[in-house]
Amino acid sequence: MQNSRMGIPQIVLLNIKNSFARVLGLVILMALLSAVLFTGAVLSQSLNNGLRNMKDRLGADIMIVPVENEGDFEAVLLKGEPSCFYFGKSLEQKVAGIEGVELSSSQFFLTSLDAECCDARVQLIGFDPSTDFSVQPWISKVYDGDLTKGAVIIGNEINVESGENIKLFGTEYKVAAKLDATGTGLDQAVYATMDTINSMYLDAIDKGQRFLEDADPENSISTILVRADENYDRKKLIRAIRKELGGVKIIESQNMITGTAANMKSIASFMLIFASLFLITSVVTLFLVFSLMANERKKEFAILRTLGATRKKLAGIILSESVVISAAGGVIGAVIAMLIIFPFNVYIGDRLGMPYLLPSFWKILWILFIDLLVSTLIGPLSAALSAVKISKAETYLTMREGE
Amino acid sequence: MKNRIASGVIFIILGLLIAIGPQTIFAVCGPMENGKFMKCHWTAQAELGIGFVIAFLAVLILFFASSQIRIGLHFGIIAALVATVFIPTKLIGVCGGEHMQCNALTKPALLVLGAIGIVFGIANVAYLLTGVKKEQISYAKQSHGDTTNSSFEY
Repeated sequence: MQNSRMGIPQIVLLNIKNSFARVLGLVILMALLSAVLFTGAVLSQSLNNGLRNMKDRLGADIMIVPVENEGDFEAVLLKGEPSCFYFGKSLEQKVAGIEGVELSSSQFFLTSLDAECCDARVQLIGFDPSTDFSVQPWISKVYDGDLTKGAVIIGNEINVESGENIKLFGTEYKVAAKLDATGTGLDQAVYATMDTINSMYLDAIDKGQRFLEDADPENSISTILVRADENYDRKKLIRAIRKELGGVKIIESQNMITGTAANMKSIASFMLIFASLFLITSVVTLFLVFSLMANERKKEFAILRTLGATRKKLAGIILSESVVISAAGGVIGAVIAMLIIFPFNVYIGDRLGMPYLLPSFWKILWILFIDLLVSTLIGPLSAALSAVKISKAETYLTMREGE
Repeated sequence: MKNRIASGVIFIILGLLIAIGPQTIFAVCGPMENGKFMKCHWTAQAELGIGFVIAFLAVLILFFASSQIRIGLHFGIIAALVATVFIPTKLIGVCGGEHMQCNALTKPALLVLGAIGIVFGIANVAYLLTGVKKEQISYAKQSHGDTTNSSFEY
């Protein structure tokens, strides 16, 4: 007969095998905790990234749109819902002349046809390169030439690559570059100079497309972007714009960012509270289960002591069991969370209706590491007291207990 | 027995989700304004067929005790699951817009279901193969014993 010594790993495996139902319950609990922690951390980071990019991307301090189209404009920026609305081009000149306006530039919006380039309509944004201060700084990061007529720059979520052509209103346009992802609705937009937008507009009219009020790029614009003089009183400037222009809505980008940030804060707080409650519940449950388990198995451990197991070994058995359970749960939970968070990230972002951009690969790896570390440590920390108790118990007294 | 029921039920659920999901829970986009269907509609139709094939093969798993037959059925299911993954990505595809329902929801759902099924299928085949090996060893031992006995009879 072969004589083999049983070490801690063999004993731990046998214990897990013999109490499979209890171990499965604990692994499920730890998996849920790990999934909640990982999901919460990635969601918060993604929302933060989105907000930061939105702040950077807006570029303008004040945006002026037709009075009834504030919601449409915000939907373009935040959700990428294409829209077109217009007012007279003459307003741009008036704004440029107002005291406290450092820079101003207008944009002209069109929407593409369904099922043309991208199956869904996309926002087409025309800008004037001679006055623009909000789009070109971003374009210069990915494209160093001048955007010529017939060329476009596309947002990161348009499924065409740089150098390829994109078909809009029946005409092919060269994609000069693809912008970096921002997590905002602007990722689904196509940018072109006013010349190019004008030819798109004429093609659209040829195709029978009718835009609101039959506005055209020669006489109409969709929005005026304003960079305010830093030393000029912002409220005074807004009053002046309101006085000069009637029937317009003045949107302060700071207010828009503050509003979005407040929504994000509520989501982040909810996730934090939920994750904390889950963490506390898991620790308490594990603590109770390991205490009960240690109590149930007192005699088993006393027998192991009589057979020569050291106190350290007994504590090692309990701690190893808890590490195996919590690490297994941690890994399973993280995998489940990753199967939800990454493949469905566009859907999650859309449902949240806020700027949403996943963190970088290394950031995600760091979150995963912390998640697995926390999940793995919770087990042994919860079992530590039971391990100490078991290792200190007097073998003789334990064996005689109940006699 | 446990493995047969568990794997059969899991694959039936997977098959039904793949078949019915793109029409209901994670539905593809509806028809366009002109009434024409987009690519994703045909992906959903293809998945409907494949999903039911998976569910049918999974039902057969429940009825066959032989590990070897079940391994064969598993291979059939794995092949169908590979098709489940390739239909929305390569073979037919979905709509181009990243935020369209089929691209944001149906495609990832099919990919996740397919991937889970393939991993589970391969793991179960490996498990069943160890069972077959044990069966073969015990059969070899048994037949060796029979030969000894029969030589005694002579």
